[in-house]
Amino acid sequence: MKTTINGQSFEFEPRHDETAIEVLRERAGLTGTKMACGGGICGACTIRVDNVPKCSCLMPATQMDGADIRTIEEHGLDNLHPIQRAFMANEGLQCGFCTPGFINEGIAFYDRWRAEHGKSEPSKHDIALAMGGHLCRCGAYMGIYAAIQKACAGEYDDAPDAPIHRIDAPEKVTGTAKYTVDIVFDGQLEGKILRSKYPHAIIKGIDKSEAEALEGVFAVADLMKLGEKVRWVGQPIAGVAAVDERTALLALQKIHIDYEVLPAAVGTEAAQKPDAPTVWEKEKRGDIPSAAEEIDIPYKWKNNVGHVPADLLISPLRGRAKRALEKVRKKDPNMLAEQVYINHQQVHTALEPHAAVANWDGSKLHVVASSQSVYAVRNELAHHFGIDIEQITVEGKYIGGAFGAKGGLYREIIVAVTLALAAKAPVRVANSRLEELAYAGTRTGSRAEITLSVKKDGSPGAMHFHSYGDAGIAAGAAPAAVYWLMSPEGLRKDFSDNIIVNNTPPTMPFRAPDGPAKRWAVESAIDEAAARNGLGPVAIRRCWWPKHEIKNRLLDWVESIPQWQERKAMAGADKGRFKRGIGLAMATWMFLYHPHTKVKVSSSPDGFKVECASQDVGNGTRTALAKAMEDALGINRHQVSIEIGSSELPIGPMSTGSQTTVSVYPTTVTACEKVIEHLVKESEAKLGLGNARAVKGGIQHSSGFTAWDEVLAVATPFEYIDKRGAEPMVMGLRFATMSKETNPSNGRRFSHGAVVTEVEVDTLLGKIRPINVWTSVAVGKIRVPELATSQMYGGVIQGLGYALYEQKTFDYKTGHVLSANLNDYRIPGIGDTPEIHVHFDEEGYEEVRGKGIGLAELATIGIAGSVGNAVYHATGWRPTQTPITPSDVLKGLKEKKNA
Amino acid sequence: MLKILTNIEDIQGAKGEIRAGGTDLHDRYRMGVSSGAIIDIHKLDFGGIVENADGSLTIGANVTIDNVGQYPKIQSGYGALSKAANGLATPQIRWAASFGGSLLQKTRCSYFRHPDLTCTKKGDSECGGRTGQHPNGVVFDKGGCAHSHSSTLATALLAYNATVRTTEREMPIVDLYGDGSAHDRDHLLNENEILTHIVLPPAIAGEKTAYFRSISRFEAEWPIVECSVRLVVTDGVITDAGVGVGGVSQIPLRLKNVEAALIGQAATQSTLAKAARISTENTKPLPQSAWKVEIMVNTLLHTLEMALKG
Ligand SMILES: Cc1cc2nc3c(=O)[nH]c(=O)nc-3n(C[C@H](O)[C@H](O)[C@H](O)COP(=O)(O)OP(=O)(O)OC[C@H]3O[C@@H](n4cnc5c(N)ncnc54)[C@H](O)[C@@H]3O)c2cc1C
Ligand code: SF4
Ligand code: FES
Ligand code: FES
Repeated sequence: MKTTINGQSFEFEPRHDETAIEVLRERAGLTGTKMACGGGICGACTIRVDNVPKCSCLMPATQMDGADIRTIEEHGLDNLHPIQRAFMANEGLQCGFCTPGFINEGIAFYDRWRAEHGKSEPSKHDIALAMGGHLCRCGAYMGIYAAIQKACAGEYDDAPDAPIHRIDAPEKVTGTAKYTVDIVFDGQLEGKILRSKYPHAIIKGIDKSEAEALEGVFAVADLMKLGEKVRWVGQPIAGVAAVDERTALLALQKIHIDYEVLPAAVGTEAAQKPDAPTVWEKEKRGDIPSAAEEIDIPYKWKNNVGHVPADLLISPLRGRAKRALEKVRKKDPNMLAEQVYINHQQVHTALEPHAAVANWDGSKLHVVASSQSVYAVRNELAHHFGIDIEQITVEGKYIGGAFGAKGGLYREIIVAVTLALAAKAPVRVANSRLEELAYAGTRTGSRAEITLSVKKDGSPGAMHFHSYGDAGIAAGAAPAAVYWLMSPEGLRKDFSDNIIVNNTPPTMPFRAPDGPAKRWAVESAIDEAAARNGLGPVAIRRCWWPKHEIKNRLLDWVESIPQWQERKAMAGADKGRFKRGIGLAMATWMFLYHPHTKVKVSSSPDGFKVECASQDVGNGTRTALAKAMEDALGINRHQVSIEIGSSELPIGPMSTGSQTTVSVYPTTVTACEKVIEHLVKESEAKLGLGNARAVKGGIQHSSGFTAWDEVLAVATPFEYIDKRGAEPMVMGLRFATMSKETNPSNGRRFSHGAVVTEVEVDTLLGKIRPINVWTSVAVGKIRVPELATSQMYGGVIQGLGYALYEQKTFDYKTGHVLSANLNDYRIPGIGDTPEIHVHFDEEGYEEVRGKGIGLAELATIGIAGSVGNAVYHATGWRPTQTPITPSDVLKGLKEKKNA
Repeated sequence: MLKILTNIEDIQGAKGEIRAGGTDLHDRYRMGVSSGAIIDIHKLDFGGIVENADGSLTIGANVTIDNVGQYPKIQSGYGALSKAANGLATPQIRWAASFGGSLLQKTRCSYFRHPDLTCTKKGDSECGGRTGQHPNGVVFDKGGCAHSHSSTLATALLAYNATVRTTEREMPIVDLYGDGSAHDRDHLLNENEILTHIVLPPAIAGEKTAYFRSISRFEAEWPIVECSVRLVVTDGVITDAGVGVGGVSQIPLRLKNVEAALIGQAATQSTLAKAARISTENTKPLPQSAWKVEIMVNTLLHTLEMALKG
């Protein structure tokens, strides 16, 4: 068969079930075309066939015959399409994995639009309809809207100098960025994982002989020992490395596992039954994986229910809280805000799956991984495989999203390394979308029992907050403890955190672990208490934090929103089918940073360079480093050479805990200061400049200005590694744990946010449409405003997914995950994006290095709470579970009517 | 393993699953739910869209969904069909998928689409869906399969009394699906029977039409319930009606009782509301899907209102 790809003719003979994406990526080596869902839903694989966008993952390869195929590689840096420039100038991307698809669809749309409407702006509605076949998990939709609108209007037709905020945007919009799934070494094999079909079983036998005998199979490796137990469907049992994916998949079917199937507890309900099978035997509890970020939470167990024995810490005066609540209950139970709040599990589902390529060269191990922690993975690999750290390099240059699920040494990396060792060849392991949605990363589900009373003046009374987490077979959820850290002075607390282990896949940290759940429960309860006590949502929060400057500033901002000012006092006031409502939630989060981070800045005749072993998961690490250089040296950020994403570099932060920018930015600036010092001296010595001092872009001296270039040309090359170091804090903790409002540094160490969401509820069909989201964070100085805004947008969009659409579902009989494709697991699309208004409150963190703290997690924490409160305000019915589905809405409204 | 048909007669003796656009087939192949030989028919030319002398319209099975939605005569004469075609799936799918494939595609039940779960439609002895989770299951239960049929366009064709032609016969669209008693089938074509044409009877001028689906997001989501509706209103009275619903039954469903409740009545809100409520007459929901009865009535009402508003 003969086709034309980007103007070049290409011949091939397709296999019977081959699709176009395989021809492009595997035969033609054009890896710019990405596969994410493999089922026509996400559009990452979109190419243009005779200028019509098609999903190459579903397009039969036979249809390439005689067709004109265009891929993202068509327009390189030397002939950028206006759509590509527009995406770069408007932050239409973060991790970049969905970008090739959006760009191809965007180019076709641009052509159609221009032909029909000339140079003019399409509406967001037009764009949403055209881009309906694309999903972006990072939530870059606001930028995508702006990019396409402006490009169609002609703004980038001739704009070679259009701004490029994100340093790696050029690689991402041209398809040259190589993600882990794109890496191909010579002789590379494809690895696949045989996963448990049962939620609870003992592995009695593994018969690999038939698989090993299969042609094209190079290695079959045990990942479990005989006699060991599997505790969830999807747990890796064995791995196969073969010449290609189809051979590896075939080999998996030829491995015969002898299971002794045991009774299982699938889901928390089953796990709590009196006769529930024990998910973790006493002696095995040390093996329970942690769903919490770097924190090992101890438990006291009663069969499958683990209680966090922190009562004395988080509820020292539990009795007083209980009595206070009982008193109110006796006197006027109507004054109690009492509900059970539930959050179903949410799935990370980054568009690039978990993936790793491992290559042994003698005793040296080279790993490329889609990872949020290249530096830490190296250490963990050394520990796991018992090899010297010096023998290992870990690399991750481009990462297609992570959101918490790709921290540390995850299973797929271990399998790749194991198989590469066994096969004596490089091996890639990459999850399918099913594996990604079912097994590779989930936010802990939560059930929170809350009873809240407030005092007559609106100030905090007492709160009963008992949480029961669903982390599958994992443990480590503590929303009550997290709220305890941040709760107001004077609140009497009866708090308790519990976990219910059950035979479903382990959950993992997900952008602000426990944050959205905690706020869903608490902000809903505060809202309800306000309504019961005749207080407004802002008023009650001012009563809770009368002296808190930052929170009160955020509340001032809330009251400055015109739609908020017009807010009706009564809930459910709208008549008719469509009801509008507006809700408020506050958010607070911890300040994490990485004190050990080291940044190397160097100068040479080649220019300035910055290096750090952190990685860019779409958050913008490269850009934060380059912007620090830009700010410190007064040069254009694109002139800096940047080296990240390799464990060979000076230690850098993991991309977790909102800590990247706060760790690398100030460190880069101070390292620059040393380099500047050196260059000033050199300019005096070598160029004979008098009175030299550094200014933006170069050196000011008695006889004028000399640009850095001229200084660098003569100066001895120089490098300086600076360390971030610790903040002066209580007992040297990485984050401060004081919660007294009167503490002078209160509010400095926590980040604070406020979210106002306006929704429209269709009471006939149960659909909730978010219309406006106003979101403000107080995190101090914003260092890279364009990228910080992108993070805020992404936080809102993921928060809306959590609030309204996303739910991991199970078949309780077999333990299999039902929401195993992107039709059944529903993430927000571009048309679900409301108007998002971002506000930064930049005061109050002056004493922190860099004068600011992180915001990526804070950006998502309050969203669901504000949606719930908006739905209540619209309808008078209070949703208690997320996602708030049409069926919940119809049921809730009916119950309210009948009440 | 791959046979590309350039001549329809070559289907004789060919082995494998027929592939037109491949948008349903390749999803199943990639998921490991289907496998085996493929008979590719995308090169067969059934003649595109032909406007016949008697006013009827013959549409080749390989015409894309997008072409159905954009064809001027379909937009003007069969509004519910063109609106349904333009409102389903995503632009890329509508550009790639064939009309024929859209009628013959396999179910979207999560048990069927999961390689490790059982389903009688995959030849297993047990229907995992019925005994497991099916909150989006059928509300007109007939035993057997508990998941709804996938085809949006079939609901519109039912409303228009369309017929289909195959290499073996011509039949009304209802007979393509039967009454739902063949539980393990998504359609009743024989092996190697190729759907060649869809025939629409002459259009009725001035019809009021609408297509609507209830979903949780803005777009690109499989429906909870979807409706295709056409109404003929003369002097304020509904003189003819066609009502197709999807998402509620293992076959695409035409609601004749609702049509009967519309025909001959004044085109008013109360007529529509009464008719929509009549849709519940023969419902037999499963406990988990019972909530969908209300949303079916409401979706139907909304679609009827949309049609009447024009
Ligand atoms: C993200 C997404 C969303 C979707 N949403 C919707 C939706 O809302 N509503 C809806 O109705 N559909 C929806 N679809 C399904 C889509 O409409 C079908 O995949 C498509 O119509 C199938 O057409 P095809 O030509 O690609 O068929 P293929 O995939 O080639 O074939 C589908 C089936 O039909 C058989 N077949 C095809 N043509 C013939 C023929 N001429 N004769 C005999 N047998 C034949 C094949 O053997 C196969 O079993 C969606 C699909 C995706 C990927
Ligand atoms: S409900 Fe239907 S499609 Fe789903 S498993 Fe049962 S038979 Fe299969
Ligand atoms: S990978 Fe093709 S649409 Fe998602
Ligand atoms: S930028 Fe869209 S998925 Fe990451």
